[in-house]
Amino acid sequence: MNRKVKITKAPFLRDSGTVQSLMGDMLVALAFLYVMPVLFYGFRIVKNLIISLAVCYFLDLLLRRVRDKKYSFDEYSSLVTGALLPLLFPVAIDFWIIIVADIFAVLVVKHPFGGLGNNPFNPAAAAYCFCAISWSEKVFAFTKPMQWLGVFGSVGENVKYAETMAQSLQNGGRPLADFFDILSGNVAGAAGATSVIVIVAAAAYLLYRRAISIQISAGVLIGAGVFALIFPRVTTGPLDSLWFELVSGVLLFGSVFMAPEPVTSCKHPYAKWIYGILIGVLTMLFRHFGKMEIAFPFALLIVNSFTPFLDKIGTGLDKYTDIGLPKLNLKKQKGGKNDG
Amino acid sequence: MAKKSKKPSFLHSVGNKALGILKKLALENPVLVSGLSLGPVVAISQSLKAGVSLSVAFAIIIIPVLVFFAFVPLKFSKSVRVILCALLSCLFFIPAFWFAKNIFPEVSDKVGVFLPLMVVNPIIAAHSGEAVRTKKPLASFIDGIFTTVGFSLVMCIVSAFREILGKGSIWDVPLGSMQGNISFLLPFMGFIIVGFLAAGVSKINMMLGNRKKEGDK
Repeated sequence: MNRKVKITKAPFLRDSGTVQSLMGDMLVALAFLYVMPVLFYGFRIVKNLIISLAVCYFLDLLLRRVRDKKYSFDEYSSLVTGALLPLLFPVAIDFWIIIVADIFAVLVVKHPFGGLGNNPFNPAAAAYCFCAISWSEKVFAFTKPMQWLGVFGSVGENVKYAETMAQSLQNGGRPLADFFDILSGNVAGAAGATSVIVIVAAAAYLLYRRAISIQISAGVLIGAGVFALIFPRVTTGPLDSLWFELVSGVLLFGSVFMAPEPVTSCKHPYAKWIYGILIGVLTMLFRHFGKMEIAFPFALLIVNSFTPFLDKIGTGLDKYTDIGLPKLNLKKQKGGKNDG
Repeated sequence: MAKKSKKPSFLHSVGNKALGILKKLALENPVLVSGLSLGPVVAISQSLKAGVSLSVAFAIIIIPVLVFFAFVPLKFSKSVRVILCALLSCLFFIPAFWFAKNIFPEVSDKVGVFLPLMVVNPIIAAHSGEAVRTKKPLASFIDGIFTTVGFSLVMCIVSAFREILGKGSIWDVPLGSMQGNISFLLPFMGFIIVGFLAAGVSKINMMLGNRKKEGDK
């Protein structure tokens, strides 16, 4: 069977999807996650979002101009990075850290490798890791929810800080957060990573729109979940361990919004499962043996470097299964949707 | 009647030679263009003292080795030459180690295994082959000087940059109340800085290459 295939760069989209529609879906899903932080902390998160979007967007435009690449004002990929970063940090974070993170993501992680479709590492994860190493006392200072934080300037000394679920687990204790608080996000933690129900709803939307692949998200949760069952950090039982490990830190958020990022993740279906499971297991290893309470972005960066290798393994596994990819007659065609 | 070509002035020829030397140091830099010896540049360049210490050790090893290799017969195979290069480097490592231990004692421990690893530095091995082919001791000596300056330039620029931003000091002298950022002292930042420097040199090389093509037209 001869099938003509368009040769383009990542993200590789089928059906009628375009890069714009994919990025648009991600932005809509990320917008859901900004609602709960506004309820718990006020409009400070909106200020962080506006600053982050502006810095990412204009820096991306400028760098595309410097690289003599064609650009258009409706290129949204940098906006997704801009919307992701404030959700990974505490709401009380200083705005200049978000600006540094945005600059790092676009200037160091995205453009030096060729811009959209060519970056081997997730820009948001790399920028978060850089800020976590550089300013760990600020990046891991989480305020208690239901406190109205000032929109501008620093939050002041009267603000109450709280131990997150990830910190409790790291200290060998059982988190005290109640089930409904965890579902709604009424717990201390990263701005967008605490409300489980909103993350699950966003995941359902993205899966329905085919913007993310279930293999990777499920693989992350399965890898982390099985590890948590076998090696629980909580002494009250394996099910408690499973629940708290999956909802603590940014694991759930990352499994939906960061790991399935189409440019840096694996393309082959079998490789996607392996990729997801590896990220989950590595995250748990970092949680057990690492010093930082949030481990997911570090695990994601390490596994990003194995993406081409995992895709080769996935292709190799085709020989041993009945379900294989059809043989394609690859004819190079001019143009592509993803000329970045 | 054919016009007589004007003889370039003395200043013009000196300027051209200086530009040629600068081009060789920057645009044919062994670290930034060939990617050789990235290990010490990325891992050890956390302070200017460490950079200078490694650069001097490098000079003490490479220059005599290259001059010696100008006398080595061409009939020796490449593998024999590489082994000979390593053995000679071990010999000249002794004064280099003495220098590092006595002149920069506080840095020699931090430099760690990278000082003895200078013995198998790829820049030395690559240039030893050139020295055998040219068979001119003076040319090898000058090549050694330029290679040392090229390596030291990158080493010292990266070290100074990382020390200022990582520790808020230069040559262990604090710069006012400047606070450093620990990320700049980690190897990943060394890679990023060297990567940007290499990208800049590559861009300049491309622009000069395009200008030359337009000049030839």
